[in-house]
Amino acid sequence: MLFRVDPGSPVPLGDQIAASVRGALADGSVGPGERLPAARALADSLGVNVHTVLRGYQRLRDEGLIELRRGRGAVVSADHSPARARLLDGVQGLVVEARSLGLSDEEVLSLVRVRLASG
Amino acid sequence: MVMEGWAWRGLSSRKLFYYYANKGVAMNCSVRRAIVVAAPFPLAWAGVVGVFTALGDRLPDRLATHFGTSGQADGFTGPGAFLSVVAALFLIPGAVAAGLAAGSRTPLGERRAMVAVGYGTPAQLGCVLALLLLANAEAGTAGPEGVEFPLWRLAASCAVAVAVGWLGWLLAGLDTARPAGSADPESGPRLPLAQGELASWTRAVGSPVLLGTGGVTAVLGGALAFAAGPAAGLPLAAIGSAVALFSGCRVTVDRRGLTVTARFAPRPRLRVPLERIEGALSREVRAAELGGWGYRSAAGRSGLVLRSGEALSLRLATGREFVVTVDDAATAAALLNTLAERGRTTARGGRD
Repeated sequence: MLFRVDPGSPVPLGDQIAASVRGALADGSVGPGERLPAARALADSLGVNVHTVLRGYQRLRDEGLIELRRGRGAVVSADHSPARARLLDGVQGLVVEARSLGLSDEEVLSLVRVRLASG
Repeated sequence: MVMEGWAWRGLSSRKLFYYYANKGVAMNCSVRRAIVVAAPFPLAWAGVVGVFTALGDRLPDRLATHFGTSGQADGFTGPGAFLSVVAALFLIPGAVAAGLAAGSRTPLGERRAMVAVGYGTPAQLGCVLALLLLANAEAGTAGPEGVEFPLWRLAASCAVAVAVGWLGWLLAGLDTARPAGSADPESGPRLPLAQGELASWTRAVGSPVLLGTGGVTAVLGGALAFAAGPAAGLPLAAIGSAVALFSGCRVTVDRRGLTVTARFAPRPRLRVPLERIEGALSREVRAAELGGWGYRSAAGRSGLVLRSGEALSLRLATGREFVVTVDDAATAAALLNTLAERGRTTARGGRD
């Protein structure tokens, strides 16, 4: 899979790494049970700090897309589906767009709530 | 050099070669290869028969054909049998060589060592047989028992073999058609990157063949260790485990170039630095093309073949090809071309 990180972008590097994985999951080029490269190896490869990669991986774990296990590295969750990855990609896009418009977290949440309430 | 004016290099060699290749005159090409590869065999045969005819009456009725370590004759053959054996010795391998060369689609330039051996061997054999006939003729009235064949004659034939083998090496080098599918470096695929954007492509690739072979070997080794003692079984088990361990690889393309590591360990690893890469593309590779599975090296190309199918093919600055079989090789090739180009631009910018 392809990892792309642009230090010139306002999006944090860890989030960009997470976005790369999400994209690969969404288009099906990476499937359930597949192992992501070790954080140290990926950090060396990209030339970024290993903590940056780990932040990205943790973000993906929080979203339920991957499992992080000591000694086994990062593995794509068995119950992962490309549709879910696409949805999370959409959420990420929403957040980035809202931030660039200067909306506060509360304003974003209320926008989503209104949309959910209107069915 | 004699060869400079020779047909293959004549005109502007490579363009002409491509022209014919594209015109679909592949038949012509394989006939030419067969002739070049097989030529030394009938030539050497003709040489020996020529010497035999020239010496004519001077040859004894029984030819001394085998010699002890002291150089004294201790084995004899009639002239008829001698000529049939000589014909078989040269013409059968010659026919086999011609058949193999005609059937192969690999340019001779990638089989130079093999062609050189194919030239040197009949040259040495022909030389020894011609010297043998001369020795028989020289013995004259002493009869075949008096024939001597000192070792220096063998040494002389080796020198001839090396010279003719070298000629074969040079001739084979003239046939340098690149395999179909390799394009020139400027037109390779690209993956657009923003300035300063970092990118890394990585993919795991496994080899069912190597995993199976390694696993079975390891199990057999273990069984042997139980049945016949650890000394007999453990080396086999160790080799099998090693093969199984390296049956999986991770291929990475990034700012450093191409890196291949074993799947379960960071070392050993294989790295081709970006500066050594001229271009990359994705192509189909058959395991038979490089002579099997595993790390393969043939003249002009080397690589890691874990299975047949899609492979990342690099053209190195040395003109050699490096292949590694891996899925999604097109993305890897595009990224590698972009990074290599970026590397060249920065290197130029740095010098200015």
